[in-house]
Amino acid sequence: MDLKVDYIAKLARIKLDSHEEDKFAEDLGKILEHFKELQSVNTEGIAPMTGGTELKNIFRKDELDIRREVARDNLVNAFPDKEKDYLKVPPIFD
Amino acid sequence: MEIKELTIKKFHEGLFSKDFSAVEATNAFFDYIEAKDKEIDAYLSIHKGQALANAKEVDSIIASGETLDVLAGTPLAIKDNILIEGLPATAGSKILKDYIASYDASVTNKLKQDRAIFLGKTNLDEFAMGSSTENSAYKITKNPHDLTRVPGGSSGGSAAAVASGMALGALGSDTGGSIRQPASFCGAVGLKPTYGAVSRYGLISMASSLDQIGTFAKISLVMEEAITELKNKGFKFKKITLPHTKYALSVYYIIMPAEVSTNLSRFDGIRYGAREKAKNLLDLYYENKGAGFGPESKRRIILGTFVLSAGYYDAYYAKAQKVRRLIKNDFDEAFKGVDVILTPVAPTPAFKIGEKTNNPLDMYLSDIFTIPVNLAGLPGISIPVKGREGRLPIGFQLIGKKWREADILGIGRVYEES
Repeated sequence: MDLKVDYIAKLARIKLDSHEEDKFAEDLGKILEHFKELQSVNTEGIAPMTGGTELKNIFRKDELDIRREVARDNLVNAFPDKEKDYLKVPPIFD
Repeated sequence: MEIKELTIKKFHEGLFSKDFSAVEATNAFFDYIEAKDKEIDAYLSIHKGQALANAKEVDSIIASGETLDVLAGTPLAIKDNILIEGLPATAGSKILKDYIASYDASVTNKLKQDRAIFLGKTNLDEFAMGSSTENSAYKITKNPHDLTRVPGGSSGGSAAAVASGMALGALGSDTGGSIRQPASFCGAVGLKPTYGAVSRYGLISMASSLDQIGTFAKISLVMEEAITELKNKGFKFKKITLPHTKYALSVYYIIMPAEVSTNLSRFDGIRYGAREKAKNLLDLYYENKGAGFGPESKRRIILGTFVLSAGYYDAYYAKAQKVRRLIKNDFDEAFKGVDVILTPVAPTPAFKIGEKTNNPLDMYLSDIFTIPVNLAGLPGISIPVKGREGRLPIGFQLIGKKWREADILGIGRVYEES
């Protein structure tokens, strides 16, 4: 098992310190070892179960549901940073 | 009998026969919480002003002679990963420390329509990820039966609040056992309904194909109704086998972290929640998640990202989804011969605080009997075993066919009354 925690952390866009990297490499090594038992299960011709139900998507009419309308101000007030009522984010490029 | 020891049904009868008012009852609960929660630490926040205002409304409606739903005036606790507009919802994480919910979850909206009273929000493992509530970024909840032991998790705050009389009922969420296992540890009834039976709108997502909102109570209200259906039936037992459930832990710890790693990517500090200082957008993602998530969340994000990554997807994620199907097929087969399946809830009673925190795999094994039920999407309930006075509580689990909550609630009730 070749688990490069620093590379995975980069994919997940999460900063880990070196102590966390070492600890997770050790923990996940044991966990992945446990997963090996699945290799022996015969799953030929078995369709993956991709969700919690066998239900198909159904679509409602695209109309305003007043019960689901979230107050605009609540959302704007939750912004961590803003200018007037606009959401402010750091620059995308340096 | 004290108000806090009533069942929800008895509470309703007392309220409507004016033995006590909703305001009196609500105040009694807050007085008790103030005295008791210092040692239990079940609540992350309590909301006295709003609760008393709502209780006052209930009293004036009762005084006017109108009828109200059975939950009207009932003091409830809500797990802190379920949204109530205008109140905090931390999900047990620093990343949502100052977050105020912008809207109501479907479940809390419905409870508001029924005029239930929300006493407060309860502690949980960060983003509902854990089996002991020790992964909360805020506090460690204690088991009301032994303060040196965990209440179970992740809905440990809700279970402890109900078991210690600091709420008459509570909502929790259950992805792999997070209602049933703490119910077993604390001596409460905990129901995880059929997957999809209750709306997840406004529940902070952990693993969407497994997450399910459910209830804690001393005795479930619905049981009273289900009883009539089953009371006169005799129960017969037979042994069954579920050959693939031995793989359930591996399957769960691939599928769940995969879904966690995608669901938790929304906590990027852009639109809500805590935001760290950063020089550019990419840096913000790294900094925010690095500072905001606790160790267990990070561990599962890393594991989930790994099993979904190119080159490993088929060997882990796709394989696990296939074995998940085999586990579900085992249940389908077993249910051809029986109506309900009985198992333990957890391999042990409540363990000591700190006992398993350094060994994640050992902690994960706490949910070995409850996980298969989530993978198959079935309803399950934890019922306290009777006659354990003076010992730690422990529950047994009843698993029902899809949409047959009535079967497991009814049998549970027969047991409690016998």
